[in-house]
Amino acid sequence: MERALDAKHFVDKPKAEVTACLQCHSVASKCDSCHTRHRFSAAEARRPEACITCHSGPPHPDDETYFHSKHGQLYLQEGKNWDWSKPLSKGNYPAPTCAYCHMDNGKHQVADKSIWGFGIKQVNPKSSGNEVKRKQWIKLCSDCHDPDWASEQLKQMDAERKLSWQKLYQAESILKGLRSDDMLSPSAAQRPPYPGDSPGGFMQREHIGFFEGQASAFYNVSPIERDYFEMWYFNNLKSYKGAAHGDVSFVNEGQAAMDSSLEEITKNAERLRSLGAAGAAVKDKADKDNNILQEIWFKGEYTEYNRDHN
Amino acid sequence: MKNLAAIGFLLFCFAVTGINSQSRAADNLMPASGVFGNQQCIQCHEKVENKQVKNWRNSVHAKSEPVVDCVACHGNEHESVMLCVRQDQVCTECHGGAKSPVVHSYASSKHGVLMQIEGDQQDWTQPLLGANYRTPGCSYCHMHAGEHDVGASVRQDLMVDSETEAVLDRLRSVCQDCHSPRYVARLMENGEAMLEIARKKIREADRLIKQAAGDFSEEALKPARQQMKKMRQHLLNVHLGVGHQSPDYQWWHGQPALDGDLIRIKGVISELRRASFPAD
Repeated sequence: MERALDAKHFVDKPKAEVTACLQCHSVASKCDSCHTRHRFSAAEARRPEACITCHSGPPHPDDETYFHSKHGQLYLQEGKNWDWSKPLSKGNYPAPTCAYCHMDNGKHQVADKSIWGFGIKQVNPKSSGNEVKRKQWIKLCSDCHDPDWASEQLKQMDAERKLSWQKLYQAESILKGLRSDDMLSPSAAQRPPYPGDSPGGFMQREHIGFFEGQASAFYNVSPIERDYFEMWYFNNLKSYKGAAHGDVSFVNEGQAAMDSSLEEITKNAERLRSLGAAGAAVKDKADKDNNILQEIWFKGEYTEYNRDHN
Repeated sequence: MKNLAAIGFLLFCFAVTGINSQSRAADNLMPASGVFGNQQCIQCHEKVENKQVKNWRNSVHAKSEPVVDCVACHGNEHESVMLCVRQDQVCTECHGGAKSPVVHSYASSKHGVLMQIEGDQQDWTQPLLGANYRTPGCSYCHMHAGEHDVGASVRQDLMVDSETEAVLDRLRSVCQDCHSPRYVARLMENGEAMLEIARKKIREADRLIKQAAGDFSEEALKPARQQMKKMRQHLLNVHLGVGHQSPDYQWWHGQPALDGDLIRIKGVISELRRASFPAD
C-alpha cells in the first residue's frame, strides 16, 4: 500500500478520483487479492488470470504479452489439464506462468529479480546487484532451457532497453531544448503546479524525464509533455513487457508507437517554436499570451475542484 | 450470423455437457420437446409465464435491430434451451467480443477472473439468485432472478446521476446476495463520486469548446471535437470500471486518459487563441 500512498498524484488528486488505486495497491498488506475469499486457495493464485486484474492496461500489459507468448499459448491450450496443486518448482508445469517465474518456489517477494527498473528508468543491467539477479534468472530459465540460451535472452532484453532509451532521450532532449528557450506552452508558471510542487512557488521549472519527476506528471503539464509521458509510460513499456514475456508483436508495436510519438513531438516542438518566434516579434505579446494561457489552464470546473480538494 | 454463432455454441454445450442435463431438463423443466421458432415460444410462454415475455418486450433486446429474440440466446431446441443460456459466451458474441471495453472490463475484474479459472465447474442449472454461483457472470447481475428486461438497470446518459431509488435498490440487492450492505454501499458511493469527477473533466472541456465556437471555424475546432469523442469513450470506461469493478478501467483506461484529453483540448484552444491575437 505504501507505494500508492506515497505517489505524488495520489496525494495531489481529489480522493474520490483515486479510490481505485487501493484496489491494487493494497496487495502488500492483504492476501485475498490473489487468494480470494472464502477459499484462499494456492491453486487459484498460481493461475495467470489471478494476476490480470491489476497487471493489465497501457503501462503494464503483462496479461496480453504473456498470453501472446509461446508460454502463454501453451497455458491457454493445455492449462486446464495441469495439476495446479503442485508447488511452483522444476518439473511440475509444462510451461511457466506469472507465478512460476516471479514467485518461483512460492517466494512472495514478487519483484526481487527485477533487473531493468521496471522499464521506467534506465539502469545499468550489469551492475553487481544485477549480475546476481541475472544468475538467478538463468538458473530459473534453466529449469527448462539451456543456460546459454537463457543468457542470450537477457542480452536481447538489454538491447531492447538500449534502443528504447535512445528514443526516449531524443524526446527528452527536444523537451529540454524547448525549456531552455522558454518555448514550452503553457509554462510551469502558466498552469497548476506539478503534483507535489507548491503552487505559486518561486522560479517554477518544468520537470523533464524520470529523474526530474516525470513519473507522476500525466496531468498539470503542457500537451507536448503529455505526449512524452505517453511515449515513456505506455509505448516504451509496451515494448519492454513484450520483450520480457516473449511477445515479439508487442515489441514491434511498442517501437513503432515510440517512433510515431517522437515524430509527433518533433512536429509539435516546431509549431511551439514558430508560435513563440511569431509572438516575440509583437510588442507586449508575451503578456497577452500569458493572460490567455492562465485563463485557459487555471480555470475550469475540474481544475478548480482539484485545487480545492487535494 | 450472430444467431447462428449462438446456436453453434449451444450445440457445443449440448454435446459436451451430455446426457445428465438432458434427462434432468426433460424430467423437471420441459413439458414440450422439439424445435420451435420465436413466435411459437412467445405464443406458449405468454400463457404460462407472461412476466418474462412482457419484460423481454420492454427490453433493449426486443427493440434492437435485428431483434435479439428467444432463439438468439436460448437456441431452438426445447430440451436444451436452459443449458448454456446463463453462460457469458451467449452475451459476449454480440457485445463486442473479448477485446471490447464492456466485455474486457468484466473479464479483468475479480469476478471475471474467477469465471475464467473455474467457470466450467459452476453448476449452470441453478437459477440466477441467492448466491448460487461462486462468481457472477453477465446474466447473474444483468438478468438477476431471470429478469428479462435486460438493460433496465443500465444507465443510459452517463452525464447525469439518473437512477431512481427503485433501480438503486435493485442493484444493491443483487450485490448483497454475496457482499455485505456496508461494503456495497461504500463501493456504490465511491463509484458515483468517481464518475462525477470524470463528468467534471468533460464539462470543463465542453465549456472551453463552446466558448471557442464563437471565435473560430468548425475546421479549426475539429481536433478538439475529435478529442471530445475520445473523452466520451473514456467516461464510458470509468463507468464500466465502476460497474464491473475493474480498477484498470476506472484508472488507466479512465481518469488519466481523461486528463490527457483535457490537456489536448486546452492545447488546441490555447494555440488558436495565441495565433489569432491581433498584432498591435
